[in-house]
Amino acid sequence: MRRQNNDELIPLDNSAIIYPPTVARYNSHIFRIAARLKVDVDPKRLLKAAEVTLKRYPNFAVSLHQGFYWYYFLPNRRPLEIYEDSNFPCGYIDRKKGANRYLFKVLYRERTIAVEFFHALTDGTGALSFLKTLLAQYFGLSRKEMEGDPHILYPQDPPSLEEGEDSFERFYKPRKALFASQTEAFHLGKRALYTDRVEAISARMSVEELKELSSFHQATITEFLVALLIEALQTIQEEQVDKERHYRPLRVQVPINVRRIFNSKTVRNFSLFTAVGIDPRLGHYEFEEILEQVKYQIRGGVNEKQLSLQISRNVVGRRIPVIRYAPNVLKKPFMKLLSDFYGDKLFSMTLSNIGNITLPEKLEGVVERLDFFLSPNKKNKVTSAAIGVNGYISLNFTSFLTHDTEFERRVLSALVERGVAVEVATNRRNEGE
Amino acid sequence: MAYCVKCGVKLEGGSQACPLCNTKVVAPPEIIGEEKYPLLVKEEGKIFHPLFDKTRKGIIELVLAFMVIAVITLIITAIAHKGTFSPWLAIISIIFGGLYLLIPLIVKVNYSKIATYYLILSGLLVIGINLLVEPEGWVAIVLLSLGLFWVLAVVPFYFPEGKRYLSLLLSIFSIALYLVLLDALHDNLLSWSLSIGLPTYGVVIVSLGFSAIRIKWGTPTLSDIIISIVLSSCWGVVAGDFFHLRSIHSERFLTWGFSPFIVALLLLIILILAVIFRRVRNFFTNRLT
Repeated sequence: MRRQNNDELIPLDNSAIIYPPTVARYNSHIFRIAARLKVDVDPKRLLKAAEVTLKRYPNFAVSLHQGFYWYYFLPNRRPLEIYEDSNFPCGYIDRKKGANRYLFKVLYRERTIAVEFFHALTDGTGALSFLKTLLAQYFGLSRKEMEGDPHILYPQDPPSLEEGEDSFERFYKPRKALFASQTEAFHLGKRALYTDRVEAISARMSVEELKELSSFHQATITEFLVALLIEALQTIQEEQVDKERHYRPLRVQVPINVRRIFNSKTVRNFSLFTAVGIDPRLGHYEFEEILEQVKYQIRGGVNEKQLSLQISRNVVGRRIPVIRYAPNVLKKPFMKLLSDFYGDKLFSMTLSNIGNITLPEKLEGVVERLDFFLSPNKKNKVTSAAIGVNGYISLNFTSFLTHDTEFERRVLSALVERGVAVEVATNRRNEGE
Repeated sequence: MAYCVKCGVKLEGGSQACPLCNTKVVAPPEIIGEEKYPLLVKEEGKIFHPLFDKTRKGIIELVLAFMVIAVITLIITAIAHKGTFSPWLAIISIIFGGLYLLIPLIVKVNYSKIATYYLILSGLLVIGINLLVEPEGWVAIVLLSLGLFWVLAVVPFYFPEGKRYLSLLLSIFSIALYLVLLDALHDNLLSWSLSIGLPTYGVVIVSLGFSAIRIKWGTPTLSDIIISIVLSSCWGVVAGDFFHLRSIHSERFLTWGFSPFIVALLLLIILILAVIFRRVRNFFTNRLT
C-alpha cells in the first residue's frame, strides 16, 4: 500500500530511536505480554476486538520507514492480522514482511491471548494497556465495567494528544547530559552454546509469600528479586572465573515506568532504567549486603533529578546538529556499535517488573495469569521479567542458551529454600526429546 | 503434577524432567499428569532469522558507508577539477579495500574460503590497476603467481585428511608448470625453463624426496633434518650451475656451483657416517632402534 499524500510522518520517540538501527540477529527488541484465560479463545472474536482496540491506539497502527536522517513511522492502513502462537516468544518481526507491516503481533493459542511489541512502538506499560483494552473488548466489557482502570482506554473515546506524545520531549530540561563511563559487566553464558531461539522458563509464585519474604528483609519485591539475581550471578562468576582480579561488576538493569513520577499518560515509550549492582572485585558479598546495596541504589536512583538526567541523555542526541543532520546510513552503524559500549556491555542482565496488575472484576474471573517476556540479546543472553495478577507473580526468564539453565536454577532454588512455592513451565525441550 | 527432587520446584503437568536441573521425573503417570494447555509452545514453527548479529552488521554498514562517502567525494573532486584528475584508480582501490574488509565479515570464517576470495579479489584488483595504469605486460605474471599461491597454500585445505598426498603431487606439478609458463610469458620463448629450470627443480625435488622419506620413516634428529634441507639447497645450486653450463655448451663441469658441490658432498658424507655410527652404537649397546 502506497503512502498517501496527507500522511504525516510520525517521529519515533526519543528512547525508541535506538531500536530500529540496532535490530539484528540476537537483537529482536521484541517483548511479549500474554494472558492465560480460563476459556478457549475464539480467533474471529479476537480479530474483531483487536481491530476495535487498534483504532483507539492510532500510535500503534504504524509502519516503520527509513528516512534520510532518521527512521520514522507512517500510518499503516493494511488490515490487521492475528496469528496463531506457534513459536517461541519474542521472535524477530520483520518490519517489511512480518505482521503486515505492523510492529506488533496479536497472537492466540488455545487459552492464551498474547501481544508482542517491537520496543520502538511502546514499552511494557503501553503494551499492557493495549492488552487490557483488547481483553476488555474481547469479553465485551461495558464502560462502567472498565472505569477505574488506568490502563484500559475506552474505544469510543477519541485518542488524546497526550497519549501519543513523546513525553521525553515534554519533560526534557536542557542540562548537561553526563555519560558515566562504566566498565564492562559480567555476562552469563560466554562459553555456553546458544542459538537465537528464545528459551523461556516461567516461574509462578504467590505474591503474598514473596511479599512476606521481601518485607522481612524490609525490601520491595523488585529489590528482593534483583538481589537474588545478583547473588546468583555472583556465585556463577565465582565458579567460572578463576582469578578474583578477572571478576567483573555485576549490574542488573531495572526499567522504571516514570509515567507516575512525571504524570504522563503517553502510551508510547516512557520508561527509564536504573542500574543496580555490586563490584565483586571488592570481595564476596553476602545476600544481606547485596540487598542493602540494591535498596540503596534503587531508592537513590529513582528520583526526579536522576531521571531527568536520563531524559536529557535520551533527548540530547537529537539536538546536537552533527548527529541530527548526519545521514541515517552513517548513524545506523555508529548506533549499533555504540549501543554495545553504552548499553548491553554495561549490564549483566535486565529485570523488568511491571508490577502487580489489577483487572476489572469481570476480567479477573476469566484471566488466569499474565506473563511478561523480554527478548534476550547477544551480550545479555539471559534476561528476566515479572508481572503479577490475581495473587500470583510470574517471573519469566528468557535465554539464548541452549542447555545452560544454571542461573535460573540458582535463582529459583534460592526462592524455594526461603520457603516460596515455585511452579515452573518451559518451552525448553528435554535432553533427547 | 510432580516436584523436582533436586530444585524443589513444582513442574508443569506432563514434564518428564526438571527444566532447571534436567533431573528426570520418576513418578507414576497420574502424578506427572498431563498439561492440557501448556503455557509455552515447545515446537518451533517457521521464523525469520536475520543474517548478522548487531556488531557485525554495524561494522559492515560502517565500511559500506565510508566506501560510499569516499567514492562520492572522489567523483565530486574529479568533476571540480574538470577532467584533470582521474578518480578511477582511487575508486577501484577503495572498492577493493572495502571488499577486503567485508569478506571476513560476510562469509563464514574459514581459512580456505577467505583466502580464495582474497586471491580472486587481488587478481581482479591487479587486472583493474593494469588496465588503468599500464595496459600491458606484468598482469599475467602476477595472476600466475597468485594462482600458484592458491595451489600451494589453499588447495591442500580442500583435500580430505587421508588424501593430502594428492595435494603434494599437485603442488610439485604446479611449480613445474609455473616455471614453464613464467618462462613462456617473459619473452614468449622457452629460453631457460626446459634446459635449466625444470632439471634443477627435478634435482631439488628428488633430494627433498629422499629427505622426506628419511624424515617420515626414519628416526632423524633435528640436526639431521636441518642438514637434509641444507643439502637439498646445495644440490639445487649445483644443479642450476651444471645445467646452465650445459645450456651454453660450456666445457666446464661447474663454475660457481663448485663450492656448494663440495659442501653437499661433505654433508652427504656426514649424514651417511652419522647413520652408520648410530647403527654401530645401537648394535653394541643392544638398542633396538
